[in-house]
Amino acid sequence: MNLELTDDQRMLKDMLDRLVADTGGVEAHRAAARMPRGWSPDMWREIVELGLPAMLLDEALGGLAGGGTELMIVGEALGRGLIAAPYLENGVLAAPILAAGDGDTAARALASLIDGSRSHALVTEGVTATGDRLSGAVRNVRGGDSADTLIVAAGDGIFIVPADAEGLRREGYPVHGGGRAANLHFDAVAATRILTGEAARKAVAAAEARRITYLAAMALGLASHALDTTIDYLNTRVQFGQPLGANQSLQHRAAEMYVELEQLRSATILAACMLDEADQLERERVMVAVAATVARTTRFIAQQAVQLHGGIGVTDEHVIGHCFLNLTAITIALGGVDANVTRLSDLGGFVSREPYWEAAR
Amino acid sequence: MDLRPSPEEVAFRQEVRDYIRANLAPETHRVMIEGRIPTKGQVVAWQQALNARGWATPAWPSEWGGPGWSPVQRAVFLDELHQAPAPEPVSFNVAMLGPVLIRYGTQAQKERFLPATANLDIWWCQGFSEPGAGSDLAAVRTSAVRGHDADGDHFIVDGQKIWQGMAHHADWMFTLVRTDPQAPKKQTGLSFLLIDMTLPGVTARPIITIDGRHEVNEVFLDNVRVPADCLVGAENDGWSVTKSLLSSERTNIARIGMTKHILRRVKAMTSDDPSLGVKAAAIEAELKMLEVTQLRVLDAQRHSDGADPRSSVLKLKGVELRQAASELLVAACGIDTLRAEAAGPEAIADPLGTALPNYAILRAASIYGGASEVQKTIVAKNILGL
Ligand SMILES: Cc1cc2nc3c(=O)[nH]c(=O)nc-3n(C[C@H](O)[C@H](O)[C@H](O)COP(=O)(O)OP(=O)(O)OC[C@H]3O[C@@H](n4cnc5c(N)ncnc54)[C@H](O)[C@@H]3O)c2cc1C
Repeated sequence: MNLELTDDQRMLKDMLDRLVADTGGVEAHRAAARMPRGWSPDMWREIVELGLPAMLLDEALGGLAGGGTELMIVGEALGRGLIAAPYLENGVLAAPILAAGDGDTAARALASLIDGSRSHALVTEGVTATGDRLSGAVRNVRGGDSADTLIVAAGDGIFIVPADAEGLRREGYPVHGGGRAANLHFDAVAATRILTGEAARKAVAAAEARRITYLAAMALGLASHALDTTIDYLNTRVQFGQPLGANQSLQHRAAEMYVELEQLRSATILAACMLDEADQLERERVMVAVAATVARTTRFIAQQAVQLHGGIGVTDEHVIGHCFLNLTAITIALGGVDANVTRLSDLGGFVSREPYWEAAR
Repeated sequence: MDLRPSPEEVAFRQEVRDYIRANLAPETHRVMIEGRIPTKGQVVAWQQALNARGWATPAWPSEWGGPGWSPVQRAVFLDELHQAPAPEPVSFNVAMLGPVLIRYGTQAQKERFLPATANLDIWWCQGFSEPGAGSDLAAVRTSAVRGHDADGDHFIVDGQKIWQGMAHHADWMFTLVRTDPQAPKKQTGLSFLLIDMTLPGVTARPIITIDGRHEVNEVFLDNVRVPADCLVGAENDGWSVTKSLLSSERTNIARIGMTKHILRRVKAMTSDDPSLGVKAAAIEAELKMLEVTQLRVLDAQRHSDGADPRSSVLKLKGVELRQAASELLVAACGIDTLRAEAAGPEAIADPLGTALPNYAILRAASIYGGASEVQKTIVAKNILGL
C-alpha cells in the first residue's frame, strides 16, 4: 500500500491549486453559467495550456501518462474551485477513446482536442448503427450542445460525427449547477467508425469508470470546500452573543459532516486506485459502490452546509448554494443511491454468503 | 376515542372544496400544480375571491370579518387549499399582522388597516430579520428615534432589514425596531412599527435565491420619517407584540396538504419504478401519523388557546416530510430534471422543470419560521424541561 503522491503528482496538485485560487470561485462560476457555452473559453484555454486534456494519454501521444490518481487530483481541484470547463467531456471521456481509435479521423480529432480547438461530447446510449449511418435519440448529453465533434457508441462500434453533420439535430439547454447539455436526434447521420467489437465495448466501460472517478473527485472538492466554508462560518457568525460554533449541537453536526467527508474521500481514492483494474466485474462493483457513496455522503454534507448557513445559504450570491446545486447535479448524473446499490446487489456485493473459509472473496 | 371527522366536518370540507373548485382561476391552479410561483395579480384575485366569501381571514374574530371557524375547521380549510392546490391567503396579512392589530391595535388602526389587509388592498411584508439578527431576533439594531415637528409626532428610522419575502409586492411593512438603545435587556428596548413602503428613504433590493427566483429582498431604511400613529402596542413593548405574532397560527405549520400534493406528483410518475412508490409510501405513513398529531394539538386548543409548544413538533416533522417529498420528486424525475430552462411550457413535461429548484429552495423551510435547531431547543426546554 502506498497513499503518497509522487513528486510529479504533487506538482500537478500545486499547479491546479494555484489555477483554482487565481481563477476559480463563485463569481467566476456564476459568470460562466451565463456564457453561451456554459463555460468560459478563457478558463478552458488555461486548462489546455497546462496540457490537461492530454493528461491521461501516453507520452508518445503528447500526454502526461496520468491515471486514476491524476484524475482525482484534477477533479478535486476543479470541483473545489467550482470551475466550469468541459474537462469531463474532453479530457476525461473523449481523449482516451480517441487515442485508442483507429484511423486519421480519430487522430485528427484527438489533435484538435489536445490543442483545445474543438470540444467533444460522448454519447453512449440511444443510438443505433446501420453500416456507418447513425439513427436514434438521446437526452441530456453533457456538453452536447457546445461540442464540435460527437463520439458515439452505437451497435458494435464507436463513431465520430462532426456536430454540423447532416441529419443531426441538437436541442441545447443550461443545466442546474452550471454548464449545458443537449438532447440529440440522429437521422441516418454519416459517421466514421474508429473502434469495433470488444475494443469498443471496453472503451465504453472504461469511460464510465473514468466518469465515476472524476465526478467523485469533483464531489470531494465541492464537499470539502462546503465543509471548510461552513466551519469558517460557524466560527465567525455571532448569534445570541456567541459564535454559532459555540453550540454543541452545531459542533456535532459539523463532526457528522466530516465523518461523511472522510467516507467520500475514501470512495474517491478507491475509485482512483481501481480505475485500471483488469477484473472488469470487480471494477464495476467498486464503481457503483463509489457512485452510491458519493450520492449518499454529498446529500448530507450539501444539505447541512446550507442549513448551518441559515438564510445566506439559499442565495445565488453565496458559494454554499452553488456547492449544493453542483453536488445535487452530480448525484443526479450518477443515478442516485438506490440505482447504484441495486446494481451492487445484482453484482453480488463485496461480502460472500459462503462461510468465510470457503468463500471465494 | 374516534378520529373520524363528524358529518358536519365532512360537509364543511366538501363545501370548501366546491368553492375553491368553482372560483380558483384555471391559470392560477395550473401554476400551483406545477410548483411555480403565482403572480401578484393571481394571488390578489384569489384572496379577493376568498374574501368575498368571508374566508380570507379564517382566524380573525367575526367582528373583523372572520368566519367564526373552530381550529379544526381552519385546519380543514388550509388543507383543502394546499391539496387543491391553491394559494393561501397571504400569511403576512392574514396569519401575522391581522391578529396582532386585533389584539394590540388602536380602534383607528384597526379601521384603517384591517379591511384592506383582509382584501389584500394592502400587501404586507415582514421586516423582522436583519443581517445581525436572524435566529437571535431580539438583536435587531434598526433604530427609531421619536421626534416632533410641524407635521406631528413621528419616528426617524434608520437601518437595514433582510430576507423580506415578497417585499417587491408589498405596500407596507411591519417591523421590529430599537427605540431604546439604553434598555437593560435587549428585548425591552424594541417597538413594533408599521412602515409605508412608498415613504422616502425606503428601498427594497432583490435577493436571488438558489432556485433562480426573486422572492426575498433586502430593505434599506434611510432616515425614514414614520408617523407616530404607526406604532402598534406600547413604545418599547414591541417584543411582546412580536412574540404574539410569531405564535399565532402556529398549529397550521405542518403544511400536510402541501406534502400530499408533492407526493401526488411523485406517484403520478412512478408507475414504472416500484422503488419510488415504496419510498413515497414511507413518507405517507409518517404523514398520516403527523395528521393525527396535528389533530391532537388542535383538540387541545378547545381547552386552551395559549401557545402550544408542540407546534414545534408539527413544524419539525412537517418540514422534514415536505423536504423528503420534494427530494423524492427530484429522484422520480431523474436526469431530465437537471434541465434549467424550459424551452416553452409544453416543451418540458410537468413536473420536470420545477422539481429541482423547488427541492433546493425548500431547504429554506427548515431555516425560516424558526429554524429546526431553534425548534429543537424549544422542545428540549419548554416540553422536556432540559
Ligand atoms: C426564504 C426565506 C424567507 C424569509 N422571509 C422572511 C421575511 O419575510 N421576513 C423576515 O423578517 N425574515 C425572513 N426570513 C429570515 C429568517 O427568519 C431567518 O433566516 C432565520 O431567522 C434564521 O436566521 P439567519 O438566516 O440569520 O441564520 P442564523 O440565525 O445565523 O443561523 C444559522 C444556523 O445556525 C443555527 N443556530 C442559530 N442559533 C443557534 C443556537 N443557539 N443553537 C443551535 N443552532 C443555532 C440556525 O438554526 C441555522 O441553522 C426568511 C428567510 C428565508 C431563507
